[in-house]
Amino acid sequence: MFSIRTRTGRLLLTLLVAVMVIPFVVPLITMVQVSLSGIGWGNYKAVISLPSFWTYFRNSAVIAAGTIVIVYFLTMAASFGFSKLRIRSKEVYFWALMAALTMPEVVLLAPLVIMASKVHAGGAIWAVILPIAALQIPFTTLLTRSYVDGIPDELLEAARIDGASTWRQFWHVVIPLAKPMAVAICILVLINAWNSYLLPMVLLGNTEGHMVVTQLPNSFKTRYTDDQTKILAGAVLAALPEIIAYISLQRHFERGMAAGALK
Amino acid sequence: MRKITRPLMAALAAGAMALTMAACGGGEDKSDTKDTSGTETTADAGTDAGTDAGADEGSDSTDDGTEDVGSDEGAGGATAGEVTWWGWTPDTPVAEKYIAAFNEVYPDIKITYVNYENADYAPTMQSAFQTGAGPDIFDVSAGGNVGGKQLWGEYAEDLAPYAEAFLGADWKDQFATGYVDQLTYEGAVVALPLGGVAADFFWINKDLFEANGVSTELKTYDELKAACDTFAAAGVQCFTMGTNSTDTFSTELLRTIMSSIQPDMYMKCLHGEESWDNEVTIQALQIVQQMQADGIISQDATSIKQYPESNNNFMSQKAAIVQMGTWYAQYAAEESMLGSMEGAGVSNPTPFTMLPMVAPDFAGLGNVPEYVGEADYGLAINIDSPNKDAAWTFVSWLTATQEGQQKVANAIDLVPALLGVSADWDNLGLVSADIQIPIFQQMFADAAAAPESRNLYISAETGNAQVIAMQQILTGGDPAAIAAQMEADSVDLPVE
Amino acid sequence: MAKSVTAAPNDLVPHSPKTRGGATRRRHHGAPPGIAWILPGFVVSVGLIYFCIGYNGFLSLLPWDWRPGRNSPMFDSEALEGLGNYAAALQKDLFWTCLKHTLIFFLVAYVVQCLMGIIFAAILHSKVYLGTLWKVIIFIPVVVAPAIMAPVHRRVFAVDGPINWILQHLGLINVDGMGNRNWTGWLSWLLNHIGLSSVTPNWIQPSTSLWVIIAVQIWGSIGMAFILFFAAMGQIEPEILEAARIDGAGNIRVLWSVIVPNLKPTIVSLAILNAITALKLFDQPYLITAGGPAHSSEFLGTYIYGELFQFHSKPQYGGAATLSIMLLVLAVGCSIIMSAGSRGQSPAKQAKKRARLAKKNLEVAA
Repeated sequence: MFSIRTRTGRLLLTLLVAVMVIPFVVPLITMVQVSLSGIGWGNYKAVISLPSFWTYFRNSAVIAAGTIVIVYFLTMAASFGFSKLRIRSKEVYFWALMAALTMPEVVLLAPLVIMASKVHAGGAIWAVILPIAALQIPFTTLLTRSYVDGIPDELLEAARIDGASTWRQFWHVVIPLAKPMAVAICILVLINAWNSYLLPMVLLGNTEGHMVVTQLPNSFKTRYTDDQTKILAGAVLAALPEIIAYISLQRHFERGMAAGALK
Repeated sequence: MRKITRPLMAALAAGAMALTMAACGGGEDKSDTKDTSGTETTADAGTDAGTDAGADEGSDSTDDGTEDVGSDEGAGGATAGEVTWWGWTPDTPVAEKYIAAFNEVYPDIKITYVNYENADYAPTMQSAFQTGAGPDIFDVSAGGNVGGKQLWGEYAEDLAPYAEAFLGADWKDQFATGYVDQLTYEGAVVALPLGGVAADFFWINKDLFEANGVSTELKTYDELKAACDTFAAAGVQCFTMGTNSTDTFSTELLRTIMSSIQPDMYMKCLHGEESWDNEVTIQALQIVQQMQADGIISQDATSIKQYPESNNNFMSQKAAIVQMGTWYAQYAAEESMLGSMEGAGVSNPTPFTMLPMVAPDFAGLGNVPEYVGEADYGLAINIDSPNKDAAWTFVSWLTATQEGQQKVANAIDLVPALLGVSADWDNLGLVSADIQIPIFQQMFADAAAAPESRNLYISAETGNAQVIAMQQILTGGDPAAIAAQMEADSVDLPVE
Repeated sequence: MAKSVTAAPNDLVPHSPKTRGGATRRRHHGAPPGIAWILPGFVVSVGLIYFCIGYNGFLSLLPWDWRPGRNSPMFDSEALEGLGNYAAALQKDLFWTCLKHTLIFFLVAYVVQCLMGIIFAAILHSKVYLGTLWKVIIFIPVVVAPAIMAPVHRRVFAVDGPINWILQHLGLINVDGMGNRNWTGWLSWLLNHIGLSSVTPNWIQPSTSLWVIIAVQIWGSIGMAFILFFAAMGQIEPEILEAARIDGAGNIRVLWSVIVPNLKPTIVSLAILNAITALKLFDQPYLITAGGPAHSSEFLGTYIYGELFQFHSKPQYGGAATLSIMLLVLAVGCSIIMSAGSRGQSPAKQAKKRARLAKKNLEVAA
């Protein structure tokens, strides 16, 4: 954007940006530095040797995977329906869905807690998956509908003339063509599910504890102990998968998250 | 299109709601039929639970518990089964020690302990409990918004008949004074006490005191101030305290100071006999402010928490004094002290000698602040648990046998609830056993005899109001205005 | 260098312009019925969310301190009281305090995010070295869970943490024998004279804790703004920039007069995003400052949570539900007003427009 003509100019601009990113790095450095104080790598050893260390990751993975599957199929089907099929007063349904677009999850807290207990769902992992999915679907549908709108009707009509059922049109035309959007949705939902804190904390009280990655640092915080070095070692280990995934899939992450920004 | 939108929308929303409500109807019906009397208040539910349990247990003790699941042996106990236990305390390693010792006696009862951080306990329990999927055993405390009996009492089996069958008619007298009553809710003994705590005194780093030539008995405000000046000159923080949290550790300083002005005033305020905006509270708040101005309370008090920061300051020997209670004794043992120092970020730590110190007479009126204490927590049995017998075997072993209570005593984080049990002092690995043992023994004796309760009558609202008062007084607030706000925000709990 | 940041195949474009939006829908009269296709998503999402809203509505009519007992029915209709809770909520100082915090949080975080996002995007669109590295560093905070970073931020803003370490080495604060931090002479003089004497370098305290939360939010969201602006800048025709340059405009002038006007749609959508974020904020204040000290960083999210699990000896479900409904009205209201206000259109049209914008951004971000 800026026109920089000299090598010195480029160097100076690079230097400027290097200074400007310092605040972004400070917490990351702090995190690693504190996690290595006290007994050094022993802190990491203590975190990894937690009997339930892998449970944290497994539970988060299950929640993320479950949410992704639900959101993906329901979004694709709904977008196909909204975009290409005949539905009476279609826009009314769409509007009803869109009204749920900006729902703060804390609003669901009191009802979900009572419901979890009354329908005997407390501690069940689907009791967390469903609300997280429910909060994502309006937005992913909004996004995907407009994308499916872009698929030419002629393609579907051609398929129909060839005798393809609605199901086959969906499976063989819409799903493959919408793949780029699917990747963005999966990333967006993955991040939102993996990073969720409040709902798992409140709704996942089973015998394994509410062990999701966002709780991993907390496992070294108990009534009378609050071991900062291990808490931050836990934070580093909990953050690593996300950072690695992002660095290896930069473009997809940026696209997915950017899509999510446009509510 | 737009014309039909509105009515359709309404119909749609109503339909969706009806649909989901219908789906949930099952659960609702079930709870309705269970509650035959059709009452809806928690009070009634509580007494229901009490009488139910009584009836159950009556048949239990005469029939040798034949109606319960599990392989029964003896008075309501089982020797096999699987039991889950949820609590915010003790820490998992301590609980595992208890369970291991228990399993030496009862190898076929598998206890799974799940520890929750204080703040997570209430939300988790709230969503888990009514499912019937809750734990078999859970922690209950006398008060507070984490595990207070007012929250979870109605889900607990009345343990009085069990305890009577186990310990005999005088069973209540075999526990430290008041502990059982403190865990009694609406007529039912909702938990048996595991141990007690006491607070309202200081802990000091004896090594730092001696290195700087400071007396380990600071009896007046001026002596405390002089000590702090000495420490400041040596680059040591004097008194570390963290108010930046919703926990109530910092409010104990306020209480301690109030006790030095007029010993019974704090309790009177709690019981609503005096209002919080009285002269004593205001003067105590002024003294807190004075302590800050005199450099006794360090300036960071408003921006740190008691845990981790104040604890770390003390454990890493950056600070010489901290206000903690009897539970802090656990770090006097070399092994746990080293772990705790490493947790505070110290590499290659050398353990130091820590000692309790009676708080000074802040007001100079001759009143030495006394310990306040009570049952810390007890173990409750879920009224809906399918494993009550096995659960009782564990609860009774840990709370009501010499053997189990010995394990509790040896952790030296609690005052043992059962009378006549004391820690195996010579084998605890204390850093300076010869100096610490007599002092600790005295501390635990004083703790068991503490005349006033610690948290029993402090509602969450009152506790929060005091935390905020401490935060405000340390950031330059006006004592009278703060006391008035305390009075406005506090909620008195009924005296039983 | 800039290429390495943007370069990506434009793989999201199966559409032809003429088959967009309404034009296609009219042709669907011959299409197969589709209600069964939207129903599952509709039931899961609308069903659950609307049920929760409806249930909140019901709970809000019960006494403020109502809580479910062991045997109480889910719909405790005998306890119904009426609308009193709403009046009570409006009279609570803490409610207004939370709103004030939300507003300050929104304004500051939004403005800083836009400014920094635009500056970073413009610089990284110029010929800097190591463009990808800077982009990754800026974007990592967006990806990592706020709940995981919370203990780190507490450490960053600790009295003896890195921020104060930097300030100390910049000569802005000094440390006395007991480890107390104070502003150095002139800074302390300045703060005293502009009425900010209560601001000391102990960051998580009543006078500054809200600003810690704001700073953390800015840290975690500049990357997002940056990516959006970066994508939007990629859409600007190079000819326009060239033309401006030929007219003699300098870098700053080009940025202000040519580039920024082209970013308006992104600036608007960031406003909506930030407003919603501010209203639903929970993890950071709960975990970093616990809403305090003395409620100085309380937000509606932590207030609702506090009514349930922190502030009282027994949970206050009636109150929490009342506050939830009020928060909901604010959230929906805000997004309608902001999006409609910005273009003067109905919400339904807005939603579609936003979708189109979202898709466009998706494409260019690729």
